[in-house]
Amino acid sequence: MLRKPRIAKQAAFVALLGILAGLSLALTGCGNNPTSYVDPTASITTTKTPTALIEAATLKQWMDEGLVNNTQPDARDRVVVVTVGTTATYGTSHIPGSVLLNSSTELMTGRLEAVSPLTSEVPDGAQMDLMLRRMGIDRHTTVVFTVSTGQNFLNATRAYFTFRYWGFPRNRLKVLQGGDNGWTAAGQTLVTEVPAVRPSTFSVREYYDGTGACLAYRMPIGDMIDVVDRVNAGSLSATATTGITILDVRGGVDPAVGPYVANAKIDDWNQYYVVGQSSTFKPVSDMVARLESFGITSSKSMTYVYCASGMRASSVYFVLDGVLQWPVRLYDGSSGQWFGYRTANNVGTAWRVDTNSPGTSLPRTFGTIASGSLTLDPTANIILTSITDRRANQIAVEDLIYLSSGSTAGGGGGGGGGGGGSSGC
Amino acid sequence: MIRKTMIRLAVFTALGSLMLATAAAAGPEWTFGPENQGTLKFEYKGQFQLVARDDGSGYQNDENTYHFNFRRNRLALMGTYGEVMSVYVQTEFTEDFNVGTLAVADQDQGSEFQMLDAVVRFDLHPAFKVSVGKFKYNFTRENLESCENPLTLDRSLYIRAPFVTTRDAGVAVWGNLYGDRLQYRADLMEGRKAVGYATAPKSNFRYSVRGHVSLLEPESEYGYKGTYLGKKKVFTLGAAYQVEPNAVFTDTVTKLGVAHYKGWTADAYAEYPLEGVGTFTFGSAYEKVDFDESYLTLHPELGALGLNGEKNGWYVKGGYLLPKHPVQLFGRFEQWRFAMLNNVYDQGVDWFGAGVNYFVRDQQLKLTFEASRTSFDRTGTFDGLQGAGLTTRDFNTFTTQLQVVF
Repeated sequence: MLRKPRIAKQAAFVALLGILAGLSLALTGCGNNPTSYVDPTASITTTKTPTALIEAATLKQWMDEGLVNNTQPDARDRVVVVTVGTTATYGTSHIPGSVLLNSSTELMTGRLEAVSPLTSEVPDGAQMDLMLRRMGIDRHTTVVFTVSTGQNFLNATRAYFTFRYWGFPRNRLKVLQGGDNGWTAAGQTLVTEVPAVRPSTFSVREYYDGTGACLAYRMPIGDMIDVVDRVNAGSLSATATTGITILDVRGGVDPAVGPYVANAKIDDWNQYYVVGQSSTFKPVSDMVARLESFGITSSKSMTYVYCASGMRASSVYFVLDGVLQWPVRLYDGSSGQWFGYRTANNVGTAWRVDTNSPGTSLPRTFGTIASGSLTLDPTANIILTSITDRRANQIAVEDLIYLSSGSTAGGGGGGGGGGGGSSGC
Repeated sequence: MIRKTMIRLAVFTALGSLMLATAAAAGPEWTFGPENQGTLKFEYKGQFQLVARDDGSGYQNDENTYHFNFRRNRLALMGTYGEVMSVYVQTEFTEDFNVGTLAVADQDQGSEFQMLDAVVRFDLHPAFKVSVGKFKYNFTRENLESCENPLTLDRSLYIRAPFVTTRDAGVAVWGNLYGDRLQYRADLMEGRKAVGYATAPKSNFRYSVRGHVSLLEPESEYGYKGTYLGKKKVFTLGAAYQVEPNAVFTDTVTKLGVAHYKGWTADAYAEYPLEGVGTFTFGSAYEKVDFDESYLTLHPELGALGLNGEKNGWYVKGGYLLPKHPVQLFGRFEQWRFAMLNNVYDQGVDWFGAGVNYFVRDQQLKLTFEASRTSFDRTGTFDGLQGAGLTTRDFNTFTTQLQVVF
């Protein structure tokens, strides 16, 4: 009997609470899905190809849709076709609307790295910006690389690597299967008219993510020696499923004789192309099978590719990054630089690759380096006494300074507290 | 596997919390002036956290992250002079606040010492009070809730206004009417900082109005509380509107158009103690932030995007305080939609958290544990206006916090 009022009170409270909660939820909109917003990028199609390797039919479709050199001021999706070649080959014929990236003067440049200058390295930031603006490329552009009929296809993959290094997202870069050869084989025609391109105001700084993580796609020699040393010391695995792989793709190297970077697998860049067609990649399944024969799968934490100068390796870099989206870095100095860092050339002790890794009896190079020239930078050779001295990565240091300086178009404040995400490129 | 990791994280943070509990005491208070009409009180407010998140570290940034840090670390100076005037000054020191709302930072965020509040208050009449200086603006109830008196571990993570933090500089008038049943507020604030034409189209103030009606016991203070620990019976309904004309260029490159900032919110709060049963707490709110769809242009103002930019969403939260033990169970669910978040247009975010407060000495010494899950409509790595390669992934966070007000 005594409990009745209390039970009644509790029931009344529960009822009141329910009413209040229902009223409050209705007033504050809770329980309803928030209003959606428009996604203006939904209409963008050029970033949505399965891989960065596209067929001529895809480019033709974009051309028919008016996306090539699209001059609409509010265009979110435009395509610039870049013929990587010489003035002469471009002048002979090119894909309608394509612009020239001069492989002799714009694709590579001489720069100092570690203790000696190199002749064929990535352009610096100012050179990139000049080139991109002249070609009318901006952050809403999808770039399609091709090469002139019969020309070296490696120019296209090297350009792909260069743009990736400078921060271009993967989905904004494409390589035309077969180059201009592939274009004509698909029944399309080439022209000689040079398009009138409206220059852009774009800068690679617009792709700067606050860390310059993309610059790591290019391995400097100090980092490459460090990888070898760590493998030799047992702190990094070159055999485990999730370990790393060093891949020598020069072609024609005898695995039993060398010389090559210690712990490297010996591959041949040519094997990724259809026999007799050095501008047409094999089917993806064939390329995957070849990589798997070297133990390279998507599980590998990293694959380091190199050749003699960074050109041939860019081809396999493109396969791994653009086609398969597996982790890869390009040791850009390649064997041309590696073999120069030998005792006979008087490089500082820490940099010599014809010695054993510190604290081990394992060599940094497999086989005997019989030749390899080097022009020492005397100052750098004295100052830089450690392979892990970040000052020895002069190219990355200079390029990071360029990326992180100055302003970018479309700037403004951050997206709000804690709004950032983890970085990558 | 994920469940195992979550349990390990929960146990880890709970064990860590046991090491933190210590005693605390109230802060000092002085009087001054010829007739002791002046008072001065000095207070330290600390919220020391152990955060464990199953994301943000390691080679792919998808491994567990552990983080000791101060969520809040403040010194407050409160003074009154006579019946009318008072001052409130509060500083904050934060250091490497690397575990953020959406992600773990790639680099240390550095330290910051700031004057969080600096406000002079004139209590001219119960129905007419004036605040001048830097203080909390009058918009969402959640933001106006005292940082040391939330129901859940912290207040909603998504409910701030654009271009400002939780505070702004300006002047506010407010007061209570009809026996404190009705409260009105109006303020004139800086909003987006005054800058030249290269950045913003014009310099304008931000205007806010807010009101609430208390249907049970009144909430008559400037700051709300997330829980009154069963000491009041409260049911309050509120709403607010903010506007800042010509706040941003619709396109920051062409500068051909301008957009206004407009925001509105509606909220409800109830707490009801029931003898022998415990105290039940309930709160919910909706908020909408609008920049005239400027996010659709090619070069939108980045401050009009992201966590504090164009968005709309709501939260609902509830709590139960045991009748005989200083233990409060709580939970909060939030659902939001952002015009752009980490390069994803029309991104949806769901947040759910639940946990427990243990009041050693009311809010002066409190231990809190909360487990939460943040999930997104679209996950992946996206390039765009907000930066290259921003990764969005669902994650779980376990936080143990010791709060000391001394």
